[in-house]
Amino acid sequence: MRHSRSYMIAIHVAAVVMAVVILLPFAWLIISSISPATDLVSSHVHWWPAHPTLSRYKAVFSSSVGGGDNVAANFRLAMVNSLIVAGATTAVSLAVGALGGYSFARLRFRMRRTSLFTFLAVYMLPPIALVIPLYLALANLHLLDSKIGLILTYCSIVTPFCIWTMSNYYLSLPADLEEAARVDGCSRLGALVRVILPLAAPGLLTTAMFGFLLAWDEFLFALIFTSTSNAKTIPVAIAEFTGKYSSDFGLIAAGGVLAAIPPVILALLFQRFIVGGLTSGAVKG
Amino acid sequence: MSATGVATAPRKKRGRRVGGKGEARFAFLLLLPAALVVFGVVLYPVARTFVISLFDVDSPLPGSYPFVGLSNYTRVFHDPAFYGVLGNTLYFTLVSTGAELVLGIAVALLLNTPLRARWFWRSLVVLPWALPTIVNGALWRWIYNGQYGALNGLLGVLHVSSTPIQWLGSPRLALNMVIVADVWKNTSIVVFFILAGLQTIPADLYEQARIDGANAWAAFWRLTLPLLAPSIAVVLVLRTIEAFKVFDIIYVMTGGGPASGTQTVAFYTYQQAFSNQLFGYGAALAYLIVLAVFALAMVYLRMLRQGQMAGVE
Amino acid sequence: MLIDVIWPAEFGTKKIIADVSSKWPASWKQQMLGGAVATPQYQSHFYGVPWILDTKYLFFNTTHLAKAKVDAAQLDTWDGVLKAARALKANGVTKYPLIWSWQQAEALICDYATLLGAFGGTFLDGSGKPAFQNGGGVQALEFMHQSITDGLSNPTSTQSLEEDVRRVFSAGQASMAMNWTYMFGMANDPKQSQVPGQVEVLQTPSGPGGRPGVNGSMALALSAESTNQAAAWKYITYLTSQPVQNNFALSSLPVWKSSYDDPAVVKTNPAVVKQAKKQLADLILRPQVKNYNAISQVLQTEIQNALLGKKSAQQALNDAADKTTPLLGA
Repeated sequence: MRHSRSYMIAIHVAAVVMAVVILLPFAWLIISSISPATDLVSSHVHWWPAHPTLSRYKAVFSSSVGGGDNVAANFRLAMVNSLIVAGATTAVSLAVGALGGYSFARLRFRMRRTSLFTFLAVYMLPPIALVIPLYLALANLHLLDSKIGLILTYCSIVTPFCIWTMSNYYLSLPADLEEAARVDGCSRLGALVRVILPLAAPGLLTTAMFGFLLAWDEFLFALIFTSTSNAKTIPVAIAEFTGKYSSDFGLIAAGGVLAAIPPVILALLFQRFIVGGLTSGAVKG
Repeated sequence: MSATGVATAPRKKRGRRVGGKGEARFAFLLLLPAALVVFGVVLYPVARTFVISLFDVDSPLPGSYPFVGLSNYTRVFHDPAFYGVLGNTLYFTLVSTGAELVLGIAVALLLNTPLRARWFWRSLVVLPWALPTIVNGALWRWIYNGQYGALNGLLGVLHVSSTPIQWLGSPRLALNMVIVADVWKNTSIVVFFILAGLQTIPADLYEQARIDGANAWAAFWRLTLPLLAPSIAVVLVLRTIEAFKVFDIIYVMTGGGPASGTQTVAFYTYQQAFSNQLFGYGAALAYLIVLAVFALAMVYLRMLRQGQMAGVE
Repeated sequence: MLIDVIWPAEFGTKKIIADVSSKWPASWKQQMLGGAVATPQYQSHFYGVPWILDTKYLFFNTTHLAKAKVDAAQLDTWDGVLKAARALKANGVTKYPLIWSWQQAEALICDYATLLGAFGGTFLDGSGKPAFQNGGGVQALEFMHQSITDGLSNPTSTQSLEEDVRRVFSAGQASMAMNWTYMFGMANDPKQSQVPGQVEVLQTPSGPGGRPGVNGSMALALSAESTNQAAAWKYITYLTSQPVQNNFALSSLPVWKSSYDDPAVVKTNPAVVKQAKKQLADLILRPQVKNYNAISQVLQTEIQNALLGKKSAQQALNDAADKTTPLLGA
């Protein structure tokens, strides 16, 4: 389809505007992370530091991890913890949620509405409400300050999210695909696994990405349930950069930049798959 | 056969070719792992919190507390501070979700056009979403700072305003600025969901519409939007839930001020439970939040005619 | 465990921490500074042992004052502080000479408490009912609001916490500020401040009612459920004993009166110790009631309403009194 020149110009201008809005705050974040602390508080905004410094990043990567005092080095460990916790949570929640979501989308059974609402209710509950009983439950299971404890907790939040998104995604697929497969002799489970799931790949990947970020971003439970670098995740580590007696926004900014890198890499890897798209085949029927 | 009928496929008309019992069993099997994962760890705390909400619990220690039935819940409605908090939360939810939806659809449509180097533009959208919420809050707090914030600096450079504006200095303005920070980060999610939804719309439908004489605006309104309804419904419910639960960004940016202007329900619950040690009251507030979000979600689903999945219609 | 001064009332009543009145030697009451003794007390019972003493002092920038030809002796009273601020502003030294931590948080009540005491007000009256809406309490709030409208206090103060105050002051954008002990070291450190060597510290200025500093101390308490009470108590008495405290005076000032005359202690931080000796003997407490936080939240909101000009000071405090009366009655 040929588009007019003015159309092409218009969309590229719009794209540039969008890019500016997205990048400006981010640029400020990066600049702050390499600005000396005194620059950050001067009354004239220093758009670019006279003496940029990588000292904060160096502190994160080079200092040795000794004791609990070195917040920068502990950040390294926190990144590893976050990757493990978020990764495992996503894997489990997606698998379980993709199956469960299907039943809400395509199957009829008693208590369907109630059970859907029950799952959603767990997701709707503000974490504050569950903190103390959950703390006690984890303590009894000796799962405090452990990655497994966090993974279990996060799965209970991310799974309903996956169920909700996947079930809606299934609904957007044509209704007679399973029928066709069954007529061809597939079992119900087979139809699900061999026909539906591959088609649902974009939905699965989108859900996975956002589920990953739910776990990556979570703050309250991580704060309360972890106490050492065995299990502290990135948000907790960043929060530790702000003590009552000292706070350097540049360090927080550096932490933020580093924390954003894994999700960005993931998204870059997967975005081709997500929007590569369903353009033909089953959709057209 | 057209794919457009998907969302409202007449499932009720088609008879079930297989018996209900087999179906129910299959559903049960599919749901079992999910139920184990979700309720295994969380069932006891969820139930316990509900039980706590029925007692006048004012300390974290175990012990016997007076049973008060539902009076913690009714107490909420007699709490004068609660109405302001509820108002703030509703405002926050409606404005942020609305803005995210409008902007998200616009950006998704843009990313669906034949832009050069589309992969680049699409990758940019990932950035705000990848930043942890607490860093996002700290960043915007820094940008808004009345003394040395970049926003005032930028306005000064552009000669728009030379006196620094206290962005977080008055209740209504602060709430709006917090919304800006939240929308900046979370619009990306909406973009991705809508973009995925756009992919399911085959291109030849637009061809058909063009041939039938529809212009771009009509095509959008009558063709794209209805087909996007499922994706919109999904994302609307998700964002509403998150907006009602919003805590991290308030905690970092304003602590609920100024003059309680940015105090939201989740933050208020945190204060009642943890600062004021009123755990019973806090638990009741939390469950009321759940009820409120349910109600809102039902409204959305009705409006977008997606009720069949939730069994509402 | 270490608890802040606002908690003994609540934790003690709820039996979360142990009542240790019987373990308190009478001699401590004379040997410790007055402010220290008050910290872990509630209704004449002791619920812990004071360990970290802190209050807010007035910090000022000597270079700024010199430029505006202001004598530091003027800063002894709040009136003098205002006059100095006007001079600093008129001479173009700083646009907003004063910066405070008036964000809607506990920090706001700390500053308010200082001024309430200076104007002779009280938080509660003898029967435990609100009294801040009378006399000194109102004058304190009017003082705060006026300083903003007169352009003497930085409007950003209403969104600032202690760290923001330190940053603005250390960047040379404020000439005077109230803050905790810790700011002295950091504001004079060339690596963290743009005004090293120009910072001095003074006692809280006095108003018509006195010059109490806000009690921002912390105490060590015993968990009521602890099975190791005896051992814990021994540890606490060790940590708070005079020799140990004197050793760590640089990070945290001792609770014992005589320490302040000890040359070794004075040497750690001469400027601060000199003021601390005077100030720590005269501290004002925030209301010691078992639901202090709920009261504080109401006060924070209403004080902010007044500072932002949404209500008059009297109206704001009247509303606060109305809202807190039922809470206090309980």
